[in-house]
Amino acid sequence: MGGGDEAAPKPEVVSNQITQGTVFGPVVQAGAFTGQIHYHYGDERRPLDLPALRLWIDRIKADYFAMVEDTGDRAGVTHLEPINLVRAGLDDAGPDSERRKDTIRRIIVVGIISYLARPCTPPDEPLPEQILLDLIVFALWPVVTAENLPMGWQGELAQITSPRLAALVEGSRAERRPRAEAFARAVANKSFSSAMATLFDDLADPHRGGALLTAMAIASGLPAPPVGRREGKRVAAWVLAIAGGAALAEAVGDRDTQAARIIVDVIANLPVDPSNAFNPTDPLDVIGWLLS
Amino acid sequence: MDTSPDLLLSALWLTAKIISYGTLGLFLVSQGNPREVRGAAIIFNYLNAIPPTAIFRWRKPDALHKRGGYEVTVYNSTTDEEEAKPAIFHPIRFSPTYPLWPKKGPQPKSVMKQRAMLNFLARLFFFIFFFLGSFSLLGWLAVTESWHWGVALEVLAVHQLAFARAYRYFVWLRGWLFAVIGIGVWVYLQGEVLTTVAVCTAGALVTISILGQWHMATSRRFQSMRDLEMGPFDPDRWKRPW
Repeated sequence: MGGGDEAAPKPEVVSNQITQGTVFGPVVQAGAFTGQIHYHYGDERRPLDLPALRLWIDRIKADYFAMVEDTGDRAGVTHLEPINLVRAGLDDAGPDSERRKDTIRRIIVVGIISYLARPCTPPDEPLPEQILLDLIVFALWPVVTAENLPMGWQGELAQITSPRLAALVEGSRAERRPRAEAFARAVANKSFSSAMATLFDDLADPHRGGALLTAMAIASGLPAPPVGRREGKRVAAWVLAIAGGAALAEAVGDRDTQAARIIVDVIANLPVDPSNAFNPTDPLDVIGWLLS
Repeated sequence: MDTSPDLLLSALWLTAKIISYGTLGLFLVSQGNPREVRGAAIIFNYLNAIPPTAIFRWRKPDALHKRGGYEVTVYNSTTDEEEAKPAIFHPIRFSPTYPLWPKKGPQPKSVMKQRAMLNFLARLFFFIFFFLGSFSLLGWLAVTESWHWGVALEVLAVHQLAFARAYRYFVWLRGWLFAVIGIGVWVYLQGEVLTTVAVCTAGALVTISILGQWHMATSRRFQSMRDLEMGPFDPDRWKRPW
């Protein structure tokens, strides 16, 4: 049998960015986000940098403003100002008075909405790890790629996430050519559950990120997020529901999985409103609420 | 000696004015003490050296920490951990700059630096207008009005020196000082040579009291007695009616 070549096939030489030290393609990564984490962002599902985010939000804003004008929706008018504020936060040439405050929060809100609202193929396996990782990457990638940020942006970012995550973003910005895949890998190597909890708490508060998130979500055609102080758990559930949908139920059905542990870790760090009946401590409770 | 009720009432009224104005004046002057200005500069430098990603959280006093203060969370790249530790400064509740410090939610370095700068400017204001101002005013009064004002200048100088070294207020910590001032004022109002006797005696007693308390606050012997709750620091002595 002349099957010598078949019996001992030549090992396939894989030449990609994994072998070169940077990540490319689906890989399994050990670390805080253990499990089947995909670091490769295809063309249609790639975190937007700041210039691309500006173009995207300009289109969303124009469509929404036209819709409000056509329908005369009074409730919709209330969201126009926050949308303008968010847009001004992305613009380097914007008025100083509008750019001075909350720039990082505005960029993060747009990054999150761009992750949730952009039409593209959903991930093969919408695991909570993948969703939370993607959420962090999509939210922070515009910050990493922004050419000009206001003074003290690191503190503003640490305030709404954590000092460790802010330091990571600062390190990525210092690189000559930061790559989204490498940034995702760096994020996945560390535990950021406390940062996520702080971020969800901020996004739930109408006096902080809540109003911006609501306005941007509605303008992007998403359902309105829950708003209210100490409603961070509902916002977390809202994000997971939109990004993962019912497929999450299967993913976190087994409470011993890493996926379930991450969910529990995140929601356990969020503050609790004693007067609120929705106070899930179990991932299955979150899923039950999502499905209902 | 004039023991008329009118003079007694006048003495009481003047005593109340001296104590209230004196207390307020010493408080305001102490806010501008060079030690306070230096402390404000140290706080600003400390905040300036903190990494920009640090976060400050106000911690209320509890059983473990009697004083409220800031906890700073800093990312340590060597250990890859976030380290929470007490900040080096403790805003004092009765300080006029206490309301400047934000106490709600996590605060970034930029906000804390801004408040530290305001705190420094406020201390500088107190230093120029109250510390330097009071010394200049008393000196001017001692030269142009009466040398008796020189005694007040001396008391102020000793008090501010003691405050700078021991970082404590000493006036009115001893109840008998009120009696000294009251009797001193009554004698002062008798006129003639008794005026000088009253001013000098009261000034000397207040100075001795400040020096004594300064010594008690800083000496190691008294420190160990304070730690062991012995001698003048025995709690049982405080409960006695006398």
